[in-house]
Amino acid sequence: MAASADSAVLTTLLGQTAQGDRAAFSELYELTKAKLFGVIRRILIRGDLAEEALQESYVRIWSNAQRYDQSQASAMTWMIAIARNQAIDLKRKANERVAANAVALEDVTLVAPQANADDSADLRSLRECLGGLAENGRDMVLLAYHHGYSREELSARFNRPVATVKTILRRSLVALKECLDGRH
Amino acid sequence: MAGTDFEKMSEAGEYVLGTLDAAERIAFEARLTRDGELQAEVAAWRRRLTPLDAETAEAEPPAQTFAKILARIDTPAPVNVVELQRRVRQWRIAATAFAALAASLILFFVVQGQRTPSPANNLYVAVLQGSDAQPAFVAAVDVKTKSMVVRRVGAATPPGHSYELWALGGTRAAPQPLGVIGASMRVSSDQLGGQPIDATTLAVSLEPPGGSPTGAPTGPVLFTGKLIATQ
Repeated sequence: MAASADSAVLTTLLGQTAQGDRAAFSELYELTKAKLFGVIRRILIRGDLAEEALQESYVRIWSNAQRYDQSQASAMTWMIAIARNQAIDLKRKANERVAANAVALEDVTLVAPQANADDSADLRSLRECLGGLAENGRDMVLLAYHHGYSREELSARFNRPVATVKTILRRSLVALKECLDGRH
Repeated sequence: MAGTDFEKMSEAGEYVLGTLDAAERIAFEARLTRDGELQAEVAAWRRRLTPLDAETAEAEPPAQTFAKILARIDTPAPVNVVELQRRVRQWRIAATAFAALAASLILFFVVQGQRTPSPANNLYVAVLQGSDAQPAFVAAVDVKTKSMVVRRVGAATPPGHSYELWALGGTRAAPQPLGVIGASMRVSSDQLGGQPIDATTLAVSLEPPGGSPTGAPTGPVLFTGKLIATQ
């Protein structure tokens, strides 16, 4: 994450944006656009769709800034959630337009599990807990989170029935929560 | 952990991951707006998973994007003529559909031997639309006669598929199946399961011939519409 994207600064800018401050919104955009576009590009390969999702995300950030609650999430987490929602929405709509069997199963390179020295403690815990998941749980969670895979796409990729994918996802989430809670 | 908490927690996790199917997502978001516990579960999952965002490389968006965003927030309502004309056309179609529906309802009540239709406060209607905002189905519920009529006003069912009707919202945990729908259907409003009618959203999904084999939507949810009181 860019060093410039300091959490307190973003929270302040988001608060000013909620008051209709264009200059603050513009600064917020400059500080966060590359991160949000990075998140969106992993989900939407097509550049035109990715740009559409980015536009829609910032229109929503502008109009929903008053609803941001800093007790629930950091400003960046809140904005990334909006961007992921928009990107996944557009991805699903694009998939509906093509035949189900034509869903592009691009060869996604999963994130290597090795740790970096500058990883946050939270990321290290999350990586370790993800690594402990059974039945491709880690890969399914990462493909869904980073690349917006639906249950159907996961089903095709791992050659398991959709209902089984759902069961694995639910079990993985329960195990992940228990593992993370055990570390706090 | 109690069964319901477990379900809530893992469903919220799938919501944040983005893997709920379209109907589940609509139903979940309807509950989310008024369930504080669910909101807390969603927030907790975002906090748990957000460390992964550090792994995502930044990417520079096109230079003109911000100008396009500003143009969009500067014109909150679409004011160009083409857009207005499109809206008027849609409203005309919707109004025609409503008129056709009203006519068919009156006929239906007459056939039922009822001299006058129910007062308006017993009537609820919904227009089911897809992503192109064209009405595809219209629905009306008459509380007094406990009947629900749904009629197709848009495109016919694609060959080799069935449309299936679902009720969402209220305290329903999952989409409730109401059956395969062709050109029209009439069911007892008791099938809405005693849920408040104006808390109910109707949805139509694309299914294999004969309907969903699983009791839950398996294909894309193409059309949705909320039931609203006519008075």
